[in-house]
Amino acid sequence: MNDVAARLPQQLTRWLQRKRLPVDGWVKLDRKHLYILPTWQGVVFGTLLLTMLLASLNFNLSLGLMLTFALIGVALASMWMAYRNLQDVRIAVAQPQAIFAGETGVFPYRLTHDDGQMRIGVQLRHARLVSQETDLPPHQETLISLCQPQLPRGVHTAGRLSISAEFPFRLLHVWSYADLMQEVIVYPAPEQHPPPLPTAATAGAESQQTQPDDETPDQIRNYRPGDPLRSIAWKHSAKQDDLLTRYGDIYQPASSLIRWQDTPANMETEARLSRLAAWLLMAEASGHAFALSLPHTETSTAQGPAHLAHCLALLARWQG
Amino acid sequence: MRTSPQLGKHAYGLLGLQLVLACLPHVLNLPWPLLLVAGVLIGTGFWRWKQAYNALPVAQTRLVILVVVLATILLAWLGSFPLEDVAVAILIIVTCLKWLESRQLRDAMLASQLNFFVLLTQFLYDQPFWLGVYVTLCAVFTLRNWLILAHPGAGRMLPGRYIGRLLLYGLPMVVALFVLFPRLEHPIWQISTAAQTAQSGVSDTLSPGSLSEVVQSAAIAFRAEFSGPRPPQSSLYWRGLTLWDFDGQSWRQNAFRRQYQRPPIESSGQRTDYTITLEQGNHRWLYLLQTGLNVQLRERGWFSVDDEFLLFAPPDGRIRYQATSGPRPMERLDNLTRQLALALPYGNPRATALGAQWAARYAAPEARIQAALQMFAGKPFAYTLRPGKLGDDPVDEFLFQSQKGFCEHYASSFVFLMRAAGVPARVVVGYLGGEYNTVGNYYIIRQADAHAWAEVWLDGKGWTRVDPTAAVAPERVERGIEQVLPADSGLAIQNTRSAGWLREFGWIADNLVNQWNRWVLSYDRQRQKQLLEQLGLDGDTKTMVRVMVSVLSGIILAGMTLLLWPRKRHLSPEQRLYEQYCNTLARKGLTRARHEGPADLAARAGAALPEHQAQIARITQLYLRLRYQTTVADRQADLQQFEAAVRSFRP
Repeated sequence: MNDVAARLPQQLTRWLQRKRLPVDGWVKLDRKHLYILPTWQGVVFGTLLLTMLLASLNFNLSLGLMLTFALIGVALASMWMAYRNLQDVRIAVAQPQAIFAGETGVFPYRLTHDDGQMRIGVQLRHARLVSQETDLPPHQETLISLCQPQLPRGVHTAGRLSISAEFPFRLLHVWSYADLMQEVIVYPAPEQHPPPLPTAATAGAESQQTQPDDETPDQIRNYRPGDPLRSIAWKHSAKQDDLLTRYGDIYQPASSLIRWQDTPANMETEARLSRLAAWLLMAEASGHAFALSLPHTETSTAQGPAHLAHCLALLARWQG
Repeated sequence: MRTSPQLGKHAYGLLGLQLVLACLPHVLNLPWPLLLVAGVLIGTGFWRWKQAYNALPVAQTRLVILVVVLATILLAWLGSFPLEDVAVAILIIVTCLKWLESRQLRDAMLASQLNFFVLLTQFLYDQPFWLGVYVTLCAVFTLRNWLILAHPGAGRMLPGRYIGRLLLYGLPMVVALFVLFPRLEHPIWQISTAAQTAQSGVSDTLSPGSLSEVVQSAAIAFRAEFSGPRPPQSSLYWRGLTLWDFDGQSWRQNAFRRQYQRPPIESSGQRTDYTITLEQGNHRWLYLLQTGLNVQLRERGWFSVDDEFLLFAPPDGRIRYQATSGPRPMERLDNLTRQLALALPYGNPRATALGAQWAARYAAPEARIQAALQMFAGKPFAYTLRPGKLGDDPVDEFLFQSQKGFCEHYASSFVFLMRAAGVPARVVVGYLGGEYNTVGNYYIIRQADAHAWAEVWLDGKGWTRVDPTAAVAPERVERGIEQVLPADSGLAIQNTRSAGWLREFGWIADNLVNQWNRWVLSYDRQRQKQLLEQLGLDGDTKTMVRVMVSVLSGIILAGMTLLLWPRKRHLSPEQRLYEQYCNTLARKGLTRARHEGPADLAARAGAALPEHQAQIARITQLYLRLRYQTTVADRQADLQQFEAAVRSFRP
């Protein structure tokens, strides 16, 4: 008996907190998952209505009763309207933007609904983050974002999200949950005045480097996506249908290897990551291909925003 | 608690406006010093509003608030205002203060809610129809402001119409609650009724001149509705009280007789059923036709031995009662009653002598009555509102000197003469006749219809009504008081009962008022009980609560069903047209699979219907463009093309 009693709240809690996972990317706030409770304003209004009712009854004021009952009717109808205001709204994640540490992280969501009614005052909430109240016009998607300033480096996940509205009159709070797992990647903040790219990484390559020249015999292979433009052997390629790429020791393009061990070992981890991030940005800005080497991980040598983002994300996810 | 959004100048102004509108009718109710206090606060609020809105209670505002609160305390202490007025004034002041300190949305919402209570207090004083309309408008205005302040986005969607919808959805609830919510039998808490001004009307003392004052007023005393055929106007003697004790000047009730309850009467004659709506007054009795057999208000009073219906307490408002009247079975006059009905005070020797003379001359009491009536019908007696002052022996002076009098003079001296002649007699006060409202089919009885007459005991007949006024002014009985008195006697009733369309219009208006009183204002515990009993249910509170709970649950259940009923997807125009196109294809055996996108469907359909390939491709292309690419500017044109394409697609 005690056993059951002890287990019940746990099960109840588990049932109450069951996941609302998206189907095809969307969570629909259907009737099974909409909750409604009066707000403090609602409780105050209820007390006022009760007082008005007692006064009217005591003095047998027919019109007073009529007024009180009309307000009770409006309050009940507004419960109906409040429920409908959020019913069948659908929510999905929007593409978030990665940021550097210390900037404001934005968790964006897309909301829409299928009927012609305007939905008013919809608010998102996750932990202590609260969005603006936003109206959802019919037949279009509306973007609502949760903003968290001063995010530290790492990958931040906004798990259980609550979607609520208090329209009309703010007497009732209608809400539902969605477990959308929106992620924002926060890169380490780049160091303000970083030292130049470590020469050990670049010098070796540069000393051997000569200006590539199509006459020089070297190893050539078929083009693979991601090969830098300058390594394409244009003259050879012209003779064939496919592009050819030079590779091997003979040709070393101007490239940098950005290594964890090049940062001072006595620096703090975050500072070392910041320096690496700054170097990655410098390498990308200089237009050279680069690679990132972390303990146990190494990227290919490449360039471009996608490669930069990939490298920075590695830094963001770096643990110890 | 979260911080609420700040209010703007516009919002602050709206709150002030709704407050002023809610307080406005109190100008008619509250004493001016209390009004002044509220006026100062409201003035301060608007002054602040004009001074580049700043609702913060800064120095001056604080000073005003302090002064006002002190003034209120002082006024309530010094002034002898009715408690009710002080309570209402305090509520208004609290609401004003809330408005003055409103800075956030939270405050604004509380101020709006308090506004409803201020509106409610209007009904403490009176509940006419126009006030109901006014308060409804104010309440809707307050709700609208609340809606817009709480959600500025709601301003874009016709808030007035939205409130209308809310009221409409709430309407079944309102009706059910109003009809079925159990009313209190007695108030829990009563404010002293000393504040109520004594309303003029028939009183329990009849002295010379007392009725001619009442008759000046055109105010309505009560309205009477007959459920069967209506009796002729001349037989409508609305009995109020019987007066037994004469002290030489005034007739009064007998304190001894009024205490005793009449045993229930079994009557076999023809009955008259009627319903009376009695306006509020300072009387402790009801008006009934001769003889009142039954009144459906038994718990509020009792039938006395003289067939009066006496109330335990003056009614605290308008009351409505159904009554039955009919002939009274024969009874015997006991000695005690006979003695009371013959008792005469010292004085008025000439009248006493005249009575004794008749007693000697006529053996039959009927003949003595005829003698008195013939005397009144004789020339010098006149019927007038201004009979002049009478001295220490008013009966003698009236009968033998002035010979001018109003109904109280005739009734009083007639009863005096009858007692002197050995015929048991008593005075009855009440109303006579009334004005028949042909629009609403009921009688309107006004104070001007107040009347006094006599009842004499005749062996074999019992108490018989004799109206000496009928002898001197028969038109009074036949057609009403305004026909008897000259047009310049300054009676208010003569304006009210002027002929022509004005009178018709008055009837229509009075009928509306009567229906309002009947269906809305006097809907109380009694009427609720009747309603349930008409439905074949028990009229007690328990049943009422059960019925109410069932009806309310029914309404809520219906609302919930509507809310949770799976609704059809709302489609945009292009989606609807595309569905039409899919249905056309489905009729050709090309049903769109759930996973199939428009392009895939087009490929399949194009292969199956090669002759329509171009059309299908165009429809698909237009649809995709409308769905995913079109700009607002192009949308309308694209939609038209798309519609034309879908309509002309007939494989």
